[in-house]
Amino acid sequence: MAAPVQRQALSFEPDAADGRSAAAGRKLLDCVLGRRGRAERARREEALRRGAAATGAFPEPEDDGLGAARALVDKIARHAYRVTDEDIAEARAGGWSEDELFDVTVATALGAGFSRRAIGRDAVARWEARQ
Amino acid sequence: MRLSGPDTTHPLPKRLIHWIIRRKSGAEVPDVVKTLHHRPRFFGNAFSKLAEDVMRGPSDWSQGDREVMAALVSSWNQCLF
Repeated sequence: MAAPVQRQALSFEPDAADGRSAAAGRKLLDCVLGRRGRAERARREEALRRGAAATGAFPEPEDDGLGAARALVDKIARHAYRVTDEDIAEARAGGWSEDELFDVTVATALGAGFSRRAIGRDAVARWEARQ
Repeated sequence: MRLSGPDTTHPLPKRLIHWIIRRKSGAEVPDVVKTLHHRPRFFGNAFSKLAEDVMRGPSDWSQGDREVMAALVSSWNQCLF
């Protein structure tokens, strides 16, 4: 299989002007990155970008501030069904609270989901342009 | 669930909904519902609105088509829900 092409110009963040579901997606992203989070915002943003980068179509974030939760985030981004109790225990032992882990779990999943949405919409747009 | 918060910590209105679910169905509240009801202003409320729009809103696909797509992708992710 060919390696995925990095779409540097493609953004995975929903554009609220792009229809109702995109506006709802933007609202969700704003909530998860907003003031009701318990983990530091930078950590939530890094988890979000690692979720997106796992598709191969978006760059890895330059930050590396997840520490003991990094392995957990990477598993959630790539194959969440492989998460084990030990992954949670490792992050907890590294100082992460359950609320903070909930935050980065959600942020990673959003990154993974929104990036796939963006890739799919880009593929449709490219196909339509060829018609 | 691996995190205790989504399993046990919910605002009062959501706990009332859980009580009604248990009473009417005789079954435990599904984990997905508990997760959406945990810290709902951080995640669940906005996610539910997005899910409602995507799965039930105007679309060229029927609701049934979208449910099948969701079930297929869930199976690829080895997600039982």
